[in-house]
Amino acid sequence: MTGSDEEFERRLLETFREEAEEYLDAITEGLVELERAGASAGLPLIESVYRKTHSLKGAARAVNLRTIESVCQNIENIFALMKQGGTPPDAETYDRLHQAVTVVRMLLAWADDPSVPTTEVIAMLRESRLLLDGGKSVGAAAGPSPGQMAHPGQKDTAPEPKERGTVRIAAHKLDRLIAGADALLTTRLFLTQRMLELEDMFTRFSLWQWNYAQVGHDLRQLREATSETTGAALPPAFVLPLERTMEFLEYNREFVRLLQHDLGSHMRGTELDRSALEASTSEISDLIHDAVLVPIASILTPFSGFVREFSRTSGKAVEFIVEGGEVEVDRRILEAVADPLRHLIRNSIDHGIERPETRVQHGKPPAGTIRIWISPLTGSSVRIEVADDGRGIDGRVVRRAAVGKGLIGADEAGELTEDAAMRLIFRSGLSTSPFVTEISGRGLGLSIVEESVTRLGGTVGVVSTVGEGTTFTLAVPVNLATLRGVVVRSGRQIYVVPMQSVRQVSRVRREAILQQDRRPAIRFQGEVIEAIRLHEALGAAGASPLSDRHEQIPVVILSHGAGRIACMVDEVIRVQEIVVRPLGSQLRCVRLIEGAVILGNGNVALVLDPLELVQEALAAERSPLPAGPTGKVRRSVLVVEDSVTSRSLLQNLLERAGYYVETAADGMEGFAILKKHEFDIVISDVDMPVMDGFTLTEKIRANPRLARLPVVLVTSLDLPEDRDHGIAIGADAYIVKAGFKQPDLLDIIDSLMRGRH
Amino acid sequence: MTVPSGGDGEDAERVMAVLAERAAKLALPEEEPREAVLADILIFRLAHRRYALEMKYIREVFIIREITPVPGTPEYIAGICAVRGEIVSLVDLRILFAIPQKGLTDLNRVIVLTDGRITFGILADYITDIGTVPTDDLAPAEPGEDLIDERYIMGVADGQLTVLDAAAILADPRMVIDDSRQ
Repeated sequence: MTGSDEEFERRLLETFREEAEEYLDAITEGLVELERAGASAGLPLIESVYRKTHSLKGAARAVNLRTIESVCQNIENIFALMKQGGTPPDAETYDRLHQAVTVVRMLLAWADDPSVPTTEVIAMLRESRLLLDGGKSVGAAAGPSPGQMAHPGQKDTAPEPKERGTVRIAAHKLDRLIAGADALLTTRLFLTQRMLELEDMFTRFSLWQWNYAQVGHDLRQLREATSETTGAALPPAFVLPLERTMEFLEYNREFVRLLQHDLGSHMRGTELDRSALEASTSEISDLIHDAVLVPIASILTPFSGFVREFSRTSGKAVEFIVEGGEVEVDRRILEAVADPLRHLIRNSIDHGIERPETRVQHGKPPAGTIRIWISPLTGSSVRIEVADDGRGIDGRVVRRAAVGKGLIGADEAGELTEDAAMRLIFRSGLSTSPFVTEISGRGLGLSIVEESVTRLGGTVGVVSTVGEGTTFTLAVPVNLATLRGVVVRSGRQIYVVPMQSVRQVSRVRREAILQQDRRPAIRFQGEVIEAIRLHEALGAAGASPLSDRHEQIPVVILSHGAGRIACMVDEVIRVQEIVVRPLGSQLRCVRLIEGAVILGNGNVALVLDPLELVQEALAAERSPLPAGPTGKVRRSVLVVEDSVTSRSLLQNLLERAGYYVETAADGMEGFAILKKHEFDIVISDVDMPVMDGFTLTEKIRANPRLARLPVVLVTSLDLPEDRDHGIAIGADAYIVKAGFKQPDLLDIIDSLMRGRH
Repeated sequence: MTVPSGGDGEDAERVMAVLAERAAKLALPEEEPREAVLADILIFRLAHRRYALEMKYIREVFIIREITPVPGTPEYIAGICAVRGEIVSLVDLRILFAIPQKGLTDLNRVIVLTDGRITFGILADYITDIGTVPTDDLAPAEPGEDLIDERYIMGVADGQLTVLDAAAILADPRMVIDDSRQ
C-alpha cells in the first residue's frame, strides 16, 4: 500500500533529521575547537570531524537526500586534505565550512528550497580545497582515494556505538510516555476520590443499624404475638402474612449485614490495590521524568557556531567556553531556556564585548570571553551563569535610559539602589545600547528572557562591574516533574494556583488589611504587599458570601520575580498533584488562565497564570475593599435544577438580586442540603433524575421543620393537570419554563418572602 | 411548528414574493432530473426552534453535567468541560447569534463540532432526530426570516428546517480566543 510506504518514508526522514542534527552539532563543535586549538589539536580531532561528516553523508544517501550528500562530500574533501597535513586552513576556510554546515541545516529544514545557496557553498568549498591543496599532491586533488574511502566506510554509516545499555528513543514517543504517566496520576486521583465515596457509603450502614435497632422491640413483640397462639388478639387471617413478613424482615437483616460485610472486604481489597497502584504510578512517573533529562551541552553545542558567526559579523573576537555541560536537565526545560540563553549571548557579544582595539587599549586581551558555567543547586534546580569580560553595564546609563523612556521618574531614579537599577534592564522598552543593531538592542529581549525563565519557575539575576564585565545568572528547575497546585475556592469557582509561584498560604484578620493608596494591602515578612480578591481580579461572576462573614481571610502569597501579591480567597481546600491541560483548540490563550485540571470528582478547575496575575495586579486600577461585613443578613435560596445551564442562570439571576444561593442537581441532593442548612425559599425544577420536584415538595411538606418553607416549582410541564398536582401537594407557585420571565420570578419570590415574615 | 409572524402587511408581501418566484421557476425550461446529493444531518432544538447540522462535522453528542466558566472570555463561550480527559470549550449559539431568549430551556446537550483544525461544543436544548437533506436543493434563507445571520445558514429544508453551515461556524474568526494576539 502506498499509504504505509509514505508513512514509512516519512518516519525514515524523521529519524534521519534527528540523527543529522546530532552530527551537525558535533561537526560545528569540532570546527570551533579546531580553529581555536590550531594544529595542536592534531589529527584525532580532524579524524573525528571527518568521520562525522562521512557518517552524515552516508545517512543522507540512505534517505536519498542528494544535495546534503553532495555538500557533505565537499566538506569531507577538505578534511581529507587536512588529514594529509597540508597547509593549515585559514579563517576564511573555517568560515566556509561553517557556512556549509548552515546550508545543510537549511536543507534539513526546507529540503530543496531554491533559496538555499547550495551551489554557491559547494563552489566555495571547491575553491578552498584547491587553495589548501596548493598543487602539492596532484593525485589527491580529485578527492580522497578509494582506499581512504573504504576505511571509514560502511561501518560508519551506522550510528556510532553508544554506551552499552542505552537505547535511542524518539522525542515524540517520550512525550507520549509522559502524557501516559500523567494520565495515570489523574486516574490515581480519581480512585482516591472513589475510595472516599465508598467509605462515605459504608458509614451509612450504621444509620441503618440504628434505625433497625429502633424497631427491635416492636419486632420482638410481633414475633411473640405470631408465635403465641394462645391469648393473641390477632385476627387469624393476619397470622400467616405477618409470619411471612417477619421471616422476610429477618432475611432482609441478614442480607444487609452480608452486604455490609462484602462491601467492607471489597473496600479493604480496593484500598490495597490502590496503594499498590499509587506506589507503582509514582515510580513510573518519577522514572519517566528522569528519562527526559539530557545534558545541557546538547543545546549549548550549536551555540558555538552561532557565537563564531555573530562575533565575526560584529567585528569582535570572542572565545566561547562552556563548563558543566554534562549537568542534566529536562529536555522540555532546555527547549524553553535555549532562546533566553541565545539572547543573553547575543547581548554579551553586541553590548558587552568591546572591539579588539578598544580591549587592548584597556589592557585586556584582544579576544573577549563568554563563559557559560552550569552548576547544580540544592533542591532540584540548576544555575546557569552567562558571564562576559566586556565593558559592563553602567547603572547611571540604565537610570538615564529608564527616565528617558518614562519608565521611572527622575527623582525615583536617584533613590534606586544599584541592584534595583540593574533590574531595570529587564523592563521592556529599555535598551542602553546607543546603536540598535541587527543582533540585539531592541529593548524587548531581556524582558522576554525574564518572562520565559519565570514561567519555568526560575529566576534571573544580573551583576555587572563597569569595565570588567557582566554576569547573568539563571536558576531553573531540573525537571517539570509532577506539578503541584494549591486548590482554592473564590466566589463560586474552584481554581488551582501552581505551587512553584506560591510563597506562602496563610490567613489574615480582616482588621489587618491595610489601605495603601486606596488599594487593599497586607503586611508580609515586614513588607507591605498588594492584596487582590481572586475572583474579582479574574472578572468572574458570583459574590463570595463567606468572606463577608468570616473574620479571618485565607490568602495565598504569589511571587514572580521581584513582584509579590496576596490573593484573598474564600477557602484554601488542599494541595495536590496536578496535570495541567490546555483549554482546547478554541481557547488558545486566555488572559490570566494557564490551563485546566480535572479534579478527583471529575469537575474541571482552571489553573491560574501566576505571572500574569502578579503583573496585572500591580498594574491595574482597582476599587478599594469594602470596610467589612455589611451586617445585613441576606435571604438564602436553594435552587434545585438538573440542567447545568438553567441552574447557573437562576443562580446568577438570584445573586444579582442580592440573595445568597446554594444549588442542587436533583431532589435527593436538595433535600439533603435542606436538612443541614436553613433556607428562606426553594426554587425547584420538576422533571429531574433520582428524585423529582413533586416528590421533593411532598417531602418538604411532610417534614415538621420544613413544612412552612415556600416552594416554587419552575417546570417545562405545562399541562393544567401538572399544575393542579403541583399546587395540591403544596407548592406555593408554579412557573412554566416556556413563559419564564426573570422579573416575574423575582416578584413571586419577593411576595412569598414577605408573606412569610 | 411555530413561526414567529410579523405584521399582516409583511406577510402579504412575502406571499407575493413567493408567488413571483414560483412563477419565474415555472417559466424556466424543465431541468434534467439530477441525482440529489444527500447529506446526513443531526436535528436539534435551540431556543424553541429546530435547526440541523451536517453530520460530517459532528464528533459526538452528550449531556453536560457541569460547566466550568472561563472568566475573561466573550459571553458566547459558556465555559469548558472534560470529555474523556480532553478539555472541550462550549459555545452558546443563542448569544453568538443574538437569538432573543424567551422562557427557560434545558440547554444541557452538547454537540461537539470539529473540522480537524478547531474543536468545540455547541449547547442545544434537545437532540430531536437524525436525517438527510439534499444539500444542493435547499431553499435559500430569506433575510429577516430566520433569527440567525444568513452567513451561517446553508439553507432551509422543507420550508421549515434551518440547516446551519457548520463549516462557516467553525471558520468564524470569533471562534478563536487568543489573548496573546492583543
